[in-house]
Amino acid sequence: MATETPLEGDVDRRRRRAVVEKLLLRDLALRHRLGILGVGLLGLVPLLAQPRELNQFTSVLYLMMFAISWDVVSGYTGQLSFGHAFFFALGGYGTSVTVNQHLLPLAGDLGLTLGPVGTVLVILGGIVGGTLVAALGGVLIGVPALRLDGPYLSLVTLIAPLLLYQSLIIFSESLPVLAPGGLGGTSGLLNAPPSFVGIGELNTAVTVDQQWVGAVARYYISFLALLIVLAVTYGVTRSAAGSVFTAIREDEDAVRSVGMNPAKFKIFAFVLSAAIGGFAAAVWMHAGPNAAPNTENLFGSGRINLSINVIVVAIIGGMGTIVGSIVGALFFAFADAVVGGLVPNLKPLPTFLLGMLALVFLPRGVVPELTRFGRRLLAWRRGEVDRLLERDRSPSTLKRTAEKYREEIEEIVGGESR
Amino acid sequence: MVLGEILTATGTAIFRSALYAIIAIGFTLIFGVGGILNFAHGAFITVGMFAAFLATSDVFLISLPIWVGLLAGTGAGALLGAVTYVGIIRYVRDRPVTVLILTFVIGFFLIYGIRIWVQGIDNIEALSIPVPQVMGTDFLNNVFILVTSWLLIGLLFYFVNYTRTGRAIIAVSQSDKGAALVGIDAEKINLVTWTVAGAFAGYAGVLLAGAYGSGSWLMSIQPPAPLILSFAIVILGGLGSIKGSIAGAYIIGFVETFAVNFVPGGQQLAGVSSLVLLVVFLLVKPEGLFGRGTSE
Repeated sequence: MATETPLEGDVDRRRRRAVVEKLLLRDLALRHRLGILGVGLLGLVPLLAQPRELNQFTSVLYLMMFAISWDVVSGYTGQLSFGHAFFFALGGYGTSVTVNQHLLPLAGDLGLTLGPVGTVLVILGGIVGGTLVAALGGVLIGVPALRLDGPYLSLVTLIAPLLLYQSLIIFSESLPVLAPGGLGGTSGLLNAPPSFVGIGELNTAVTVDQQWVGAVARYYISFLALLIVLAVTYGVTRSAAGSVFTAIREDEDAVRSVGMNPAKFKIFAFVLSAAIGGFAAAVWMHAGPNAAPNTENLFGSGRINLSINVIVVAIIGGMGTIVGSIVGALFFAFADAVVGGLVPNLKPLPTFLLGMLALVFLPRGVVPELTRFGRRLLAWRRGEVDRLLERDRSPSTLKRTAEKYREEIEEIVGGESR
Repeated sequence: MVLGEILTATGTAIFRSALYAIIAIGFTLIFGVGGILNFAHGAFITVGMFAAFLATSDVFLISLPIWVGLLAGTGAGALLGAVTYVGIIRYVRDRPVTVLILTFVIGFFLIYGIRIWVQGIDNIEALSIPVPQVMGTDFLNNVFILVTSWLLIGLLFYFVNYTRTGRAIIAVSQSDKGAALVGIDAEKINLVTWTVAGAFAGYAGVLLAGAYGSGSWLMSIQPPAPLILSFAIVILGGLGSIKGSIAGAYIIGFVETFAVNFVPGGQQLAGVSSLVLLVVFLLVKPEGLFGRGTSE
């Protein structure tokens, strides 16, 4: 059977077998096994943490998802986004408005009394709505991205959340058809959307009587969302599309020269990233700690903090790795907690500083550095001493993105070599 | 009556555009010479404003006149520009993405720092930091801004075109290598540029806060959002061209004033119209009115 061409025999069966073989634990590389172990450990956190700590840790899960969302578009295709909160806000407001201003009134009009199942369905409908709204936002940013290079695009992404913020104020009372109840202005929507699990708040799907049960349930719902996000982004970035994303970062002309349309992939990357960010924010509104659809939550304090935080997280962990965002978020949360305990007044300066230091001294990020170190260690154990001395010649993601930007800036200022 | 309104609006627009021109000049300079899009520009402006506030308020027990505040703001901006370049940007200059993200984070680091500082001061809101006008009345203050705006721009033109250092700046902006070949120290020129740009930003910050009644820790992204305004102006005029930036400042100043005054419900367009104009312009004519090469 070894001479079988790819198109002979039972292709489906072989494809399935290939996938199963890929998923066999014993054949995985060490770093993948470590990764799975890490995710498994994340799932065990509720066993160790106090309820209050658990709530804090749940918000770290959302930071991970937000950073992954940034990484998909900025880490992989090299299109730097400075205002990713745009998508988070669209998702968060999207689901809140869908549930509170459309679905629940509709159920009321029809005279339906929603049981737990009904409420969960409404919430899921809201999450789908929020994700779709964010994905539309992704199209909105992705289309200009086709015409704009490097820094110009970063500027547009910086403006987008500010414009959205302004429109929240302009349409604070009412936005015809889309949000009849208005968007609440700077203080946000006053009625939080129903949550999956809670202690007798309005419209909660499942009511529990103890604080910690609620905290654990919310943790696992958030964890499930993280797993979904991980599965989708891993699937995409490790597939052929992921290779094209990376190729766009490296050299757009090369992508074009093999007959593929970079524009299509750029929009796809933006929409995917936006949908993930929107999805995470939407789930947060129903299952997260401190879930309230307001600007403080969805944009960060001062309208911009959250956008910066996701960049810092992804850079600490390593751009263009997905896993880096998870590790980066853990680092970030740890640093935030430690420094916040020592000098609470200085927030968020220490984490920004951490980001700056990482940018200058560790441009590859923690995960790629660790992977490289681990590889060397393994090689050393096998006795390949030379590998230990051999310098890794592949430049970092940041450096490659940098190259591309330099070229683009040169094009903008007239093509002379600098 | 309509004619009168138009005349009034034109006057407002001229004054406002003069202010916008000062805001954008520093940003243009840094991009023109080093090829760096300085996302910390808004923070330089905010620091200038804050220095003027510290000088004129009684935080340090003596409240000095606003003239001293204006000098303090300008000086603080210049110092900050120089320190940012020497302390950080110099080391990562050959990594544009790093520089881009770094200036972005530095900028917001600075303004969050200002917020924390202000929160420690009694009776002062971080969103409303009082900075007095330079002149007694609104009109005189506007005239002062207009006159000094043109004066400073004139001086800058003279400096860039007729002094040795200025010509060296042009040389570096055209070609690093060429400049190095004729013995120009690019490091020094970059430092001079960042210092001058910082000084302009600081000066603009004091005037901006005075003209709008008060400063704010978020002023760089709140309407009129000088950070984004500078981008808009510079892109409109063509990146790296000083003349283009001045033209861009006047176009945006006029469009904004007329949109606010004559479009129904225009009050809410303040601060938004320039952003919309910018996005449209980016999509239609990204190289700007005076793209590099046609001016200089």
